[in-house]
Amino acid sequence: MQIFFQDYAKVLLVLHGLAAVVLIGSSAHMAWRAVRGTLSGKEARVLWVAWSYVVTFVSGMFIYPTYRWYVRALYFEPQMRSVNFYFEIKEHLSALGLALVLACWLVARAGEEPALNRFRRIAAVAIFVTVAYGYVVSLILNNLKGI
Amino acid sequence: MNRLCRCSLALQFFVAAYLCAAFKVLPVPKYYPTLHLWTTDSIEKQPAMSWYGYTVYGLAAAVVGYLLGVLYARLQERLKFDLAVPSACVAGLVFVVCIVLHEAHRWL
Repeated sequence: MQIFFQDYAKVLLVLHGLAAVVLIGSSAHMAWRAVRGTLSGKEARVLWVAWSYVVTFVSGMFIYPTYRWYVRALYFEPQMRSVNFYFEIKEHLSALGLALVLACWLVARAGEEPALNRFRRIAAVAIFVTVAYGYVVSLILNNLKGI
Repeated sequence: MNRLCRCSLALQFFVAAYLCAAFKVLPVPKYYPTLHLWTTDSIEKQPAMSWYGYTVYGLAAAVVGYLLGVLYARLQERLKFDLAVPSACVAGLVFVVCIVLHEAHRWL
């Protein structure tokens, strides 16, 4: 059975993984600066987080149909049903993370008011938590059954 | 501050639309990878992908929220109270709690 983008799924998975490495590094750095209270509106790493997030997200969207059939429907659902819970949470959180990253990017250079800095700090930590969860779950699931 | 209010309202709209789609309040377009088909109908015994639909609803609502955020900023100025950050945090928490309960009910 031919699934949409199936022929490119493995290449895209490598791209997805590489972009995720950049994303977890840049988001961890941003969250660390936020926790220490040194994150400013002029941070260049917001752009790194935004670009790597978009690349990871879009490549993941193209891999998803292959995963949905060959991994989830044929392998996880019949044999390891509870694993889908962790993956589905990752998908929902990554959608929320995309909205958060776009919001973070939009307020990146909006000024240095206390409310803006508070928003940036909370968003930076929330993005890191989202990315870290997705990264760990993806690694474990890919070890259980790759595409 | 205006941009912060816009982003906060956009996040709240995103969460509301995404949850409405996930809880089937809105008709969600699904992709059936084995049939190469997009439809809002449910086809039994075929793997369906609704997550794309949730995300599109969420992002479309976020754009509307961002545009309406000017009104939210005016309201905040009138109330003289910082609503933007707490309301965005509450929206995020509501999203996480609802989604975890929803998926736990489905899979665990």
